[in-house]
Amino acid sequence: MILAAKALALILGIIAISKSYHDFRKKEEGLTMFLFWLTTWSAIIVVTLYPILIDKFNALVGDQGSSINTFLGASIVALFFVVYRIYIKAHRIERQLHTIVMKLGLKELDKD
Amino acid sequence: MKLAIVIPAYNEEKSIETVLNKIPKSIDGIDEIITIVVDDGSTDDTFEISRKKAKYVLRHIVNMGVGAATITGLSAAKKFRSDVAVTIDADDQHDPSDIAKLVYPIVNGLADVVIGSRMSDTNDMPPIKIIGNWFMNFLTFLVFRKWTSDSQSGLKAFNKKAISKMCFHSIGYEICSEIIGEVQRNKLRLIEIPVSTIYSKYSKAKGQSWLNGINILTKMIVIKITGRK
Repeated sequence: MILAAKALALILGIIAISKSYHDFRKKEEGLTMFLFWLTTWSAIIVVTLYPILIDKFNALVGDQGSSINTFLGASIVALFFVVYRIYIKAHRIERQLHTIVMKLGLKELDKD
Repeated sequence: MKLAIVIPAYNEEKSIETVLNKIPKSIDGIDEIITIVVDDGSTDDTFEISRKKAKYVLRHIVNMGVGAATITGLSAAKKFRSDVAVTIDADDQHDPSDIAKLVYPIVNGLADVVIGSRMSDTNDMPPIKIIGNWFMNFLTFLVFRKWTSDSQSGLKAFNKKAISKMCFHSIGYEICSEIIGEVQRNKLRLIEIPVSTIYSKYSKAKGQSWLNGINILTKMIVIKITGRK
């Protein structure tokens, strides 16, 4: 199970980085955005392959109580927040797009 | 009184002509009837066919959803200073002669919004649609606290007050539920009138999947939380 999770993280990470690099080469994505995704996905791959790093990091900053489970819990909360923000933004964009499409449609009436 | 019949249509080349041909030419208490087809970015001949039969045909340059098309149609009805607006599906599942039944309570000042309920006679209705409709009625009640027997009916009538007071944020099927929410919010008078439904193979295939209810519920909650200004 753990091995499958590691393999999945590795595959998804490589796909995401390749896609980001592809978009960067095609100038559809800026350098800052590419570096952001590269760092994020590289970190995800490293942490998934070597979860012990979380404990070592916690020991380094003097926090003995936290573990990989705490890290995963916090990640889920953060991801839910990101999904919520994306949903709200998509809803807003959808409405703005409809306003444009509707105005264009109603403009035809003025021509008649 | 002026009546605007709004028909949102997306890829309905097989049925739109039949629907338009069946639209009544006169209705008691109505002096003028105009038909407004809103072609919601169809990729077939819906637009061309509608242009031959309807008085006004509006076009969405991209497909936005039945809610968006309904809002555009109602906005056009408002622009034409219509006293009454009726929405009807383009898939020929409604009998357009029922429009007169919906208009009657509005013309006589008995209601602001009238829903044509398909649930009074469910003999021909597929069981999955009956369950789906009740499920949607329940979700609508859960979010907007107003019970109706057929919240998802596409056959509805609105008076001038309702057209001007209602403010929609839905662009998909969730508009049917949002209409109920707007009735509640604006304290409008709503009544339901039994209407007949034509369940052809074509109309059965159209409409929303009841699994779409989860998506609609999420959107209704978002609208409830964020939609009001």
